[in-house]
Amino acid sequence: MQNRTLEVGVGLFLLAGLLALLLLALRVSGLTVGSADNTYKVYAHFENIAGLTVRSKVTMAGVTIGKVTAIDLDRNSYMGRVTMMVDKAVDNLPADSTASILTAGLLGEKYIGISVGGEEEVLGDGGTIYDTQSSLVLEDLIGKFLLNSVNKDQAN
Amino acid sequence: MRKASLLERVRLFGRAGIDVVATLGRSGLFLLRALFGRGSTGNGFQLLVKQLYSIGVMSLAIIIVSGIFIGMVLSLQGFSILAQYGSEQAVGQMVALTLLRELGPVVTALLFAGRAGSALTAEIGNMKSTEQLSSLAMIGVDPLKYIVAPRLWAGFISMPLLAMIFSVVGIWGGAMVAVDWLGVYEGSFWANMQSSVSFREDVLNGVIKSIVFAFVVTWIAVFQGYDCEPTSEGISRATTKTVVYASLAVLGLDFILTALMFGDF
Amino acid sequence: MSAENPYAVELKKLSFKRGERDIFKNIDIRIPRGKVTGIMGPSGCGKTTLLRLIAAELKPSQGEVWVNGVNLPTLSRSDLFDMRKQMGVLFQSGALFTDLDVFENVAFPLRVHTQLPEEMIRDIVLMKLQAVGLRGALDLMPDELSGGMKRRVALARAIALDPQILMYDEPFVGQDPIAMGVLVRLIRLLSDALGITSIVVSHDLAETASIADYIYIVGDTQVLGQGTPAELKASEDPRVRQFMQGIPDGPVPFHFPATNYRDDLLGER
Repeated sequence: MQNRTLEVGVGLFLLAGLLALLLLALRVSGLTVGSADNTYKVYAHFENIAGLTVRSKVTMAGVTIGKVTAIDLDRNSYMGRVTMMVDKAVDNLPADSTASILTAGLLGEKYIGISVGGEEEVLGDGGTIYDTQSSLVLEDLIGKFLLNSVNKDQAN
Repeated sequence: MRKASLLERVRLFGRAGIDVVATLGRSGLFLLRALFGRGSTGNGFQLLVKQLYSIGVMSLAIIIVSGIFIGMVLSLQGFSILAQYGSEQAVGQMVALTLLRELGPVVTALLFAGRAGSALTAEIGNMKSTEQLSSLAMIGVDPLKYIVAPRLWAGFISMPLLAMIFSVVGIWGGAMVAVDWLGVYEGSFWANMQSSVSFREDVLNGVIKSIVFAFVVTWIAVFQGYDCEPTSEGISRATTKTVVYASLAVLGLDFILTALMFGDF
Repeated sequence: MSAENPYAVELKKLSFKRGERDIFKNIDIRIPRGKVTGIMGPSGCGKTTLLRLIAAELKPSQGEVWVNGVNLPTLSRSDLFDMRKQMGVLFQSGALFTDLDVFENVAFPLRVHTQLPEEMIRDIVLMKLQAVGLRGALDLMPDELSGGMKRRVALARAIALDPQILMYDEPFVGQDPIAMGVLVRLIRLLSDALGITSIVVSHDLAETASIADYIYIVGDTQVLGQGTPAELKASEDPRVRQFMQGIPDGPVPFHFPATNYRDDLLGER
């Protein structure tokens, strides 16, 4: 029956549309279902987070292990506090790990890189990384350079 | 012809303005009656399925083919520019955002106006000129409910789906070029994309855009057909009008919607 | 109004304007029940418009259109659609639905207006098609039919719901003599056998005169003449005579209104 092919065609079309939405959600925008369940929270305090945004990725050895979910100012210390959700699979981060704000490429996006520390104790849910390296602010660098206050030790 | 006096010209101008407003009013009433008017036609669902087929399914081919090519071109162009700044891996992000926010909804709407919109106008215009609409009315069936309404709904449903399919195949085409041809690392291609595309901000806003476009394009197409002069010349003029008006409306609305949705970035 | 009313359709003091132009001015037409009434007149005088006014597809600028005791212009849109079930119209082109085959075309009014079971619909459709002699063309699509056959299928569709009033818009235009003869016979037959009130709009004198019981001649926004075909043939009215005898120039002028011919040729530009 001709009606049948028509209905099947329309059905496939609707399915394709839904599949497209699903792909856009999961594959393209990285929306994960129940993402709160398999991650844990880690905080880090930075002197300057300039350029880092919410949804920036958190990497370790170049591998993405989580993302930044919130950025706010710590009222007491006047430092930027970054909240990260880190995959449960990486639950063995040593407590003295370092977090630094890095740039992908010369002008690329900012992200957080975590380098492993040496302690036995690990960061749990709600743990804080204190050893941090702030964002590289180009203007500051140039300013220092102009004032001739950049010596070889600092420049490293 | 005599030279028109100033007063006469003002009069003509005023009349043209009133004509435009009257047409707008007529098309608004037309839409209200078709969508919400009383009276059913019995097998409305079957009519809708039939129209979904001829409007949606028949537009799939052109949407998929153009989607792939546009995605590939975006990827190619984006790569050559981004490579100058050493951020080739951002090409995925660029392709995805461009498609989801702009090109997906807009190009789909333009193609839809050309493919399905013009066909709708011509079909309804033809029914009008062969007196099929009149004879429906004489049989006691409201052509607004029987002919117009299913086509409107089918357009409203089809276009957002087509826009999403367009974006998906476009991103796939872009990935193909970037990853397989230009050698961008696959992991960073997708990871960059995923970290910068937000489902609510980008995907849903794109879908909202295409719903608005669907509404406007289908409305224009169906109304032009219904309102056309029932001669072969009138039909061809109405078809042209559909494509021109619909395209302009889509581009204009796109600017407004973009300003509203993404303006504060 | 009671069914005793001998007139199925009455137009009272009806005026209709298209833009600034008067199409009809204050005309009165009464169509007798159960008879074949012809409405004739030169091309472009608004005969088809008159039909559309009776079917309430157009609204008159002034006046009343009474059909079976209801004044159509006062009805709401949806009441109008109900009212139209009592009427059938045979359009000039047939106006068959091009995406449905012959059977479905004839079955269409039954499907949308009745809840009849499928076998019954089939029987009715076959009966109607048999009446117009096209039962064999059941499975054909409209574009496989000749013009005359299309009109006959459309006729079968128009009578599917057994209407009380049947209107024909230029049924004889572009028909070969055989098809014409068939249609003339069908119209007469339907009227006599089923008691349908028929309104035939046409400018084909001989055919209309041969089937009509009563004829109105319209033109120049007025009813020019009325009467039985014999009465009209004997009429002394110069406008009626011009039409009935096909004289090229007369009260209805050969020339479209224009400025003075001589001035136009010799005058300054």
